[in-house]
Amino acid sequence: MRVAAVIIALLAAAACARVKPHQRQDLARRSMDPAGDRSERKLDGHVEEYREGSIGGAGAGGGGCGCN
Amino acid sequence: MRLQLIAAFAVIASAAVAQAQVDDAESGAGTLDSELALYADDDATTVVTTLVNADVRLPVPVIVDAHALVDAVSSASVDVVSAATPRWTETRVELGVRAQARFAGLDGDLGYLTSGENDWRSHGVTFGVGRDLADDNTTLRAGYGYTANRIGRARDPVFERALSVHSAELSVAQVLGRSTLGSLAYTGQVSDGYHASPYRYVMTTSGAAAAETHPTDRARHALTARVLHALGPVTTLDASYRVYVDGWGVSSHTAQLALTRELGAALDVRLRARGYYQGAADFYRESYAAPMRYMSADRELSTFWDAGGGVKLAWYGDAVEIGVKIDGSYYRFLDFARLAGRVAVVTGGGITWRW
Repeated sequence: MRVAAVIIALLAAAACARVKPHQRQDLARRSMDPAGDRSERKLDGHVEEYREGSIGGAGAGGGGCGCN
Repeated sequence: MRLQLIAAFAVIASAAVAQAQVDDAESGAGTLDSELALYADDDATTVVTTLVNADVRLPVPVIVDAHALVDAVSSASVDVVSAATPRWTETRVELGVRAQARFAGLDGDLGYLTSGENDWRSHGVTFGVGRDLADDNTTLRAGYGYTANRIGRARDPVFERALSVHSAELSVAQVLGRSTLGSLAYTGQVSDGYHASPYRYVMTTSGAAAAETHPTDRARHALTARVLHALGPVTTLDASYRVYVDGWGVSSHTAQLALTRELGAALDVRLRARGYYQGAADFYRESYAAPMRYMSADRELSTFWDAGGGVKLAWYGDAVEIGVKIDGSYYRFLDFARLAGRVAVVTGGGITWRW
C-alpha cells in the first residue's frame, strides 16, 4: 500500500513537470542515463549481493540470495 | 553457489529497466562489450569475472542480445575453513540470451538463462514489458522471472535438492524537471526449496556440530528510490536509497551517492560512495545453546555494515567506449567473532564497440 502511494505521488508530480523534447539537453547527457553501463551494473550486483543478504530494487542494483 | 541465484535475478532486474530501443536502431546495428573484474579481500578470497555481451538489431524489428559470464573463485575464508574444508576453487559459467521487441506501443523482452558449476545447475526464464507515457515523461516497467535450481554436493552423488525462485520487478521513472529524473523500483521474490549450504555447519555450546538448516520458503521485498540531477553543465548527481525486508527477519538499508563530471567531450570521471547496514535473520546465531528448528552461522545473515567508494574513468569515442575503475569496501561484522572485519577491493575495466 505504501509503495502504491509513493508511485501515485510520483505520477502526480508528472502533471506538474511535463518537460518537452527541446527542453531535455540536461536529461540527454550520457551521465543522466539511468541504465548507465549495464555490464558494470551486472558486475557490481554480482559482488554486492554475494557479500550481502539483500536483493533487488534494480534502480540501484541487481538481485541475489543470502541463502548459502 | 550463491552466485547462481544472483545471476538469475540480475537478468530479471535488467529486463525490467532495459530500454528496448528497437525503433531507434538500424538493421544490423549492434554492440560488443567485454568486461573483466577482479575481486580480492583480506579473508583469502579472490574472484575473477569475465563478461562478454553482444547485441544486434535484426532485419525484423527485434534486438537479440546474448552474454557469457565466467567466474573463477578461489577461497580459504574462515567460513569454509571453520567448516573443515580446505581452500577451494570453482569455475562457474553462465549463458544467457534475450530478445527485445516493440509491439502495440509496448517494449517487451523475453529471455533465457542457464548456469552451472560443479554442484549447482540453474535454468531461468524472464519476461519484461514497459511503456512510455505522458509525452515520454513517465516510463512504467514490469518484469517477471522464474528460476529452477538443482543443488548438489561435491563428492556426494546422492545429495540433490531443488530450489525454485519467482521474482517480480515493478518500476516507474519520472522526469521531475529539465534537469532531474526520479525513479522508484520495487522487487518482490518468493523462493521455495533448499536454501541452506550443504557445506556449512553450526556449532553448539557443547562443542557438537550440526548441519545448517534454513526455512524452505522465503519472501523478500526491496524498494529503491533514486534521483539523477544535473548540477550545472558538466556534473551529474546520482543518489539512491534502498530498503529491504524479508520473511527471515533480515532487513537492510543501502545508500549510494555518485558524482560524474565531464572532463571533456569524450572523458568522464565518476566518484562514488556506498553504505549498507543489515539486521540479522531471526534464527542466526554464531553458536547455539541447543539445537533449533532453523540454524545458521552464515555471516551474510548476521548483523553487519559495510562502507566503500571508488573512482571510474570512462572514455567515449565514436565507435568505442573504454572504462576502468577501482572500488574499495570495508565490512564490519557485529556478531561474527571469527571475522570482525574485512577489506575488499574490486578493480576492472571494459571496452564496448558499436557498429
